Amino acid sequence: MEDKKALGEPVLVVEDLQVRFELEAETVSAVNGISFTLKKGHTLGFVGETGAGKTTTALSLLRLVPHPGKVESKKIEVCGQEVSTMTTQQLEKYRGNDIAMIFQDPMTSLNPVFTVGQQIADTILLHQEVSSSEAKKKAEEMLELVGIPASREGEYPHQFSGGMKQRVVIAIALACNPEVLIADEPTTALDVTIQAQVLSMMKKLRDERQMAMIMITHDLGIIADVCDEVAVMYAGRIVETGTLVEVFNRTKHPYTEGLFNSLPNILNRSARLKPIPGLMPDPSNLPAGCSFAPRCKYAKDECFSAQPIVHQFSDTHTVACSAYARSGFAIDRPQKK
Amino acid sequence: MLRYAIKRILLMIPVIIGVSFLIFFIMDLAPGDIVDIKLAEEALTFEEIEQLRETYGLNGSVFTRYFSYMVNFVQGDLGTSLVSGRPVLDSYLEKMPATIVLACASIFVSIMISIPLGVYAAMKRGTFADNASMVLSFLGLSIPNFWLGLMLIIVVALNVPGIPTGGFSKGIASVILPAITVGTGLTATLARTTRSSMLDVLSQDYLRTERAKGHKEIKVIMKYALRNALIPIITIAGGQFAVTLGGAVLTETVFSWPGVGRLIVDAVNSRDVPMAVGCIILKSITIGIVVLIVDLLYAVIDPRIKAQYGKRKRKQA
Repeated sequence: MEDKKALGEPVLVVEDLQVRFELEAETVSAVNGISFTLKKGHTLGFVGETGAGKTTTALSLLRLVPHPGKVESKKIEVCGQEVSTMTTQQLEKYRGNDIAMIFQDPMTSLNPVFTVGQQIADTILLHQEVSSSEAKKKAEEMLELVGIPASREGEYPHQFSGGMKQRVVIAIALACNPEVLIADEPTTALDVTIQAQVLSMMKKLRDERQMAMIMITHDLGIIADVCDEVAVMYAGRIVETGTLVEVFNRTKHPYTEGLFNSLPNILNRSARLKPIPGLMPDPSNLPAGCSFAPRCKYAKDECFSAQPIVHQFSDTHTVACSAYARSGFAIDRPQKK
Repeated sequence: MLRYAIKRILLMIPVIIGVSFLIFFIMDLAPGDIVDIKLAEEALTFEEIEQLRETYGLNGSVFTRYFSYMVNFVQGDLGTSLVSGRPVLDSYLEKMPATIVLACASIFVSIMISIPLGVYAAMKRGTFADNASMVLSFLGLSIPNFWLGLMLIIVVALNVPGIPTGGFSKGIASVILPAITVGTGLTATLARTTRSSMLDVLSQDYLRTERAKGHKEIKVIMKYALRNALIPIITIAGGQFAVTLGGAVLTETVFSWPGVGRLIVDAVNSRDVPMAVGCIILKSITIGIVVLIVDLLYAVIDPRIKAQYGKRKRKQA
């Protein structure tokens, strides 16, 4: 893609995305009508519990939702192209070139019988008109970029450690300079020291290349470190979205509050953690009202019967919670500037 | 790798000793010897019988006979046939080309059919196409070789001009029916192995990575998935190939194919001990070598296995 887009222009627009898995016995509603936009050079964080639909959302942007998943949307537009109507050929050109994804588990994301160099080079060969020796040279450059000596190009994934493998996965994703990079819990499988290395490397590369990035994680610390905007997901819906400051300092949704309460407090080490009681509802049997209501301490009768009302607190800050219809409602978490 | 191969070849020595002793012992247990068979054809006096047993080296205990056989074997002498009087090695090598042709043709036919079939069935798992191809391969597995051979002769050879009912005299045309006969069972086994091995691989995360790169689905399957699924497939294919190289006895009999399988059967029937023992030793060496080649192929396909063979050489970073 040519580099015409100025900083701040949206490269990714998603409207009313729904993903359902229609099984024989039941229908699992993994994603239930989410909308978001992502601007060039910005990073959007998806945060939420396991099973909230974060990865499924990401996979539907690549049209890689596994069978028998059904994706429906009003719009999935990446770099001005509608993804849902792409032909197979367009899709093959689009994947890896306009959008790339870093997968969650580096241990299983690399093909064990090809060298890491081959695995990086074949993406380059696929999308750029280069000879195989040029592709190999580019692959070596990519390895150097993610901090692996180019001389290890001919080695196989089993010869690398977990952190190194994740670097290779990142090198593959970045090989063709995608406009949008999706990072699906890129550090979950790594230990803490390697996590910090990988994250700072990703931040550096994102800033150098002005990429738009989606960071999927359940770690609020990573969100605070990397993201400009945050979308909190619960049971396949975005319950609160806003800039990093808005969501972290002026938290509005009871679920987001619950997430923060589950974190240990560094200022008060003797304080007990306050986990959110209960479990996320079964996605094959979602409640009629707000899906969080059964676990919500502020829930009133109307929360159980009707879908939550969306409240706009600023141009960017949106919360789906009916409680704000009541005058004077506020959550317990103190609001900061 | 080389050290590993040498080790494996040396390990074949005890196997040869074991196999040769076993076959020697079993031949000894079998009722009657070559003299009894000659006796059925012509009347011999008691002295003549003793004389013949002496010249054929049939007197003495099984152990002394085995020992003297092995002394000759170590010196490269596999003995001569009691029936034809020709050296065993010459007879074996003479029959080998026909067997090699049949083995190669049948393995080629079955690989060309079974791998695409198995891959297709795995991709279409649970659909009608999958079930149909697996029923077909089950059928192939259940059909007895000799029956299929006879049916092919009756239906094809007798009706299609140019396809002989047997023998190895008409070039490619004479290989077709025996290759189909041997290949059918092989195809069935290989197709099922390919399917189950591919099913394992198709659910792997790294294929999602390949798809996310923008590879065509056919390339994802035939290059990135198949290579990972290949180990069980070549294990089965290699084993079957080795066995066929040792002689497809029933098929060779049905098609009067001049291969080593029939040579062995004839030798056993006429109690031609040196011929039978010699052929079976050569057969086990052939099988051993093919299995070794398959094992070395593992290392070519899967770098993780290569790392386990012998010394590990790591390029200095």
